[in-house]
Amino acid sequence: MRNDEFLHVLRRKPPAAFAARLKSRLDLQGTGLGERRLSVVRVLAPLFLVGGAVWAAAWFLSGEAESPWKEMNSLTEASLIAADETSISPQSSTARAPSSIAAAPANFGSGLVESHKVLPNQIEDVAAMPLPPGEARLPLEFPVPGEPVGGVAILARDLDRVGHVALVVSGRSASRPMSLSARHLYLALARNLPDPVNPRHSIPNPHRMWSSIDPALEATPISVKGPAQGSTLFNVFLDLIMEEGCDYWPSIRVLKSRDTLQYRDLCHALREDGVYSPLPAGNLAAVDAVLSNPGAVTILSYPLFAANRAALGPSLLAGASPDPETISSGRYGTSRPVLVYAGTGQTLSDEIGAILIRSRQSPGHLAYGYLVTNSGLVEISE
Amino acid sequence: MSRVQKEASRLREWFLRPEVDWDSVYTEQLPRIYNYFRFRLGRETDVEELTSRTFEKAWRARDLYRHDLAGFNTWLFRIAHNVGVDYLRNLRPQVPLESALEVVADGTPEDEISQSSDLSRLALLTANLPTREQELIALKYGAALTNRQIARLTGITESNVGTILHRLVQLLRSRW
Repeated sequence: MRNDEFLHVLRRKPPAAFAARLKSRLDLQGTGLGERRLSVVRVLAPLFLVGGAVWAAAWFLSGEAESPWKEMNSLTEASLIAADETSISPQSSTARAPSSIAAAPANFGSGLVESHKVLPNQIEDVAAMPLPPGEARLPLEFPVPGEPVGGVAILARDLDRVGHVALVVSGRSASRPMSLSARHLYLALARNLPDPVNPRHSIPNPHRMWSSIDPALEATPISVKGPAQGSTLFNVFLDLIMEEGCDYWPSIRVLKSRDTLQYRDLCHALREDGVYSPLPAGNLAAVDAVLSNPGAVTILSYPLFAANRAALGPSLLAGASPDPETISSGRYGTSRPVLVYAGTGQTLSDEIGAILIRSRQSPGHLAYGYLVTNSGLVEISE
Repeated sequence: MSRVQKEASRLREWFLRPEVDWDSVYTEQLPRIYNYFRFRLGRETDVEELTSRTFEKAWRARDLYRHDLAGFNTWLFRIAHNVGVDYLRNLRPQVPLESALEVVADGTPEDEISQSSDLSRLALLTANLPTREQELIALKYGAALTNRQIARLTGITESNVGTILHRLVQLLRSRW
């Protein structure tokens, strides 16, 4: 008999009824992420097509049309990517496209929303489009649908052309606007924080008031509303704010390359005591939620902020204020350009998917991105 | 190789990795998570609830690990750990009435009674141990993880895991 046999024998099989019940619940739950995205595709794709066609007709009849490339070149507020479901992009960017097929480059120019699916005929149309002056197109090497995985074709190489994703932290203050940094937000929202005595260990987040994080901040309870977990915008929030704040501690920063899982565990886990709450899906509901909680700090996409700037309050992040110029030039810290790739997935035997790569400004930081498949948006892990 | 070529190469490799068979993962990991909670709590009450909670959280975003089984399993246990910590933190000192209504499904009633009482005995013996030691026992004997897997999860070196567990087993055995 082994020395520790008395412990091994304490194990037992889970009750079969429980195992079956849980399995059926999980099966019903599905993958969540992908299915939710798929439903968005199903709903939005026909709307885009119809809207695009109607607009195209009006556009040609009016005789006031400008080149879509010209629109693409000037990065307007509306052309900033709206990567989450609460964004206001359909009205502003997609509807300007002259037609559904020719809309492809304009969509890339204004940011490929996650509900967009690149189809082979659209790729061909992209290839046929005239290039703007001084622009070179990288070769498209699209595999034939049904054939094994081929290369990855690059649809756009100029980051500014593709679009940006930007987050804004805003809020109305009873006294004076706060000036927040990523570190402030990390200290306010992380589930566990490095122990001040021994930073290699963590302790449950003790902060209840902004002023306990930094005496220069307001003596008001911490309340933050932001993107729902699992949304694209939430992931951007984790990368651009939580990680930025987390990286302040060298002992945590080194984990990024040594133990990614532990790093994410420390830097991505948000507190669950109600301090952080997700904004509801949908623009109107999100804005309503913000307005009904005037004391809350809000994290939202730039397009939604820009459209409701007067109601939402100023940007609270220290540094450059968000506008199309600061975002496109990279001076606004919580934004980043988006690269668009397209290719086929091994399991997509008859359709072509697209990969949306998120990138930071610094070269070589293409750490991970999104694979847009027929079953929804899938994050590519490192 | 340019940055873009490197990226394309990385993506191609990602595509070609086999996808995880989630049914097999469930079959394999359910007993581990289930027993992890039994050992961690030292009783049967709420074990099913915590196991369900862990799997539901993990399943919601499993697509993130569709090509990375090892990463998923590690992540699953991290979720289980957090679920357990939250539960124990909020635990009130009262014993719920439901604990008297344990339903057993496998084994004879005598076996179950014996196992249940042994589990209670283990809970008594480990009650005064530091949380880390309790966690190690649950991971080793409840979840049946290897020392290497435990080391990866806890951040303790593999040799230290072995040493601590050896000492714990000697201690528990002497008092069993």
